[in-house]
Amino acid sequence: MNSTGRNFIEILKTREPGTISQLYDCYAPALYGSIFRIVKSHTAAEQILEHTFLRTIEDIDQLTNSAVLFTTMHGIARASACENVLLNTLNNREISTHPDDQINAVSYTELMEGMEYQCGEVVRHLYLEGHSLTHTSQTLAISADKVKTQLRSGLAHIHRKINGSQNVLGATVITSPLIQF
Amino acid sequence: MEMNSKEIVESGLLELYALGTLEGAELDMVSNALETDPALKNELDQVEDAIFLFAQAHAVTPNPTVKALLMGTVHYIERLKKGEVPAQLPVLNENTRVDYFNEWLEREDMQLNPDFNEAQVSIISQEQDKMTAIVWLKSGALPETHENEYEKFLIVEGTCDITIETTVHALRAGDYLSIPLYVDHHVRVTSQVPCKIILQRVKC
Repeated sequence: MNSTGRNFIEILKTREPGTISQLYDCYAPALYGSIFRIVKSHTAAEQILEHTFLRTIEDIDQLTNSAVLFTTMHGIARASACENVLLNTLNNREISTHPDDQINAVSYTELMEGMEYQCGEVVRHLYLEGHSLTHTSQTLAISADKVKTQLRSGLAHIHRKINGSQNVLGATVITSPLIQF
Repeated sequence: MEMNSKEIVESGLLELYALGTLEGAELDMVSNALETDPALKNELDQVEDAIFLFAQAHAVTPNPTVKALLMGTVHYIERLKKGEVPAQLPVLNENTRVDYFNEWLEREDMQLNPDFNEAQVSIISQEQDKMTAIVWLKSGALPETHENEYEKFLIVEGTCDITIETTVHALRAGDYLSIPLYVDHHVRVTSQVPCKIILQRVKC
């Protein structure tokens, strides 16, 4: 896949199946993991993943040249996952606790190692569980400004940790992963 | 409150922008600053890089049928855009015959792809209350449970075992099976050739 993006984006705009297939292989696992962390149900996560790709394909002509494709897709996935949780909460439905629906949290623990406790809590609330800034601020009893700076510190920590030690996750990290268009 | 680029970086607003949680005046301010300051854009790239790496660290491989269904849906949408009229189909039952679907089973654009891997889906019709598709499975489908739709199988070619909780149903061409709600089930293909199925999911 062309990581610099412009040619790829032009091809993606044709909705050619081979390109969509490549896009899926490249991004689906990362998106699925993010969605599942929020909705905690494989059935719901699968539906949201499909919705994320279909909406991206549908909207591809309208995306701005400065956007980064993964971030755009991640935004769609995260918003849909949060909406799903909200609907489930309103409908008072239980979240699955099936053993198959649990993710191995080893990599999460390793990534968080050395991170200040409050930073970790902010990352967990905002990123992994999809809560809003206001909700995170109220739950952790810290100001919204503090949430913002803690998120910045937390993501910088993750960035350093992953770039500094690829072996910490037991997997190779793609070094130039983002498709820009 | 207006901020310069340095203040935006130090405030943590870029991270919220990248996560898509920024709203109102703050969103406008960051969007405007990004348009005029390449250094700030560069900083945003770093943040987005971190988000992707973090997502990669938590990657989970979805069930292979999800990709097959997505590709089938993309193909179906393109067909509708070209003017295909959505078919109105009956709900499958034990009396439904495979030859009812010959119109779709014989279509050139609904045949097994040469690069077929584990699963392929060609959607016949997506109606408000149900989705009907031709599905090919090479080895089977992972366990799943449906809470809001009935899944119905009509075998076209090949053979498979469909296990509903602990009961195994051995199916061959022409056989029909409906999966009840809230029960764990999975498919194991038992033939040398891919198992070709008319699959219907009916909302309840």
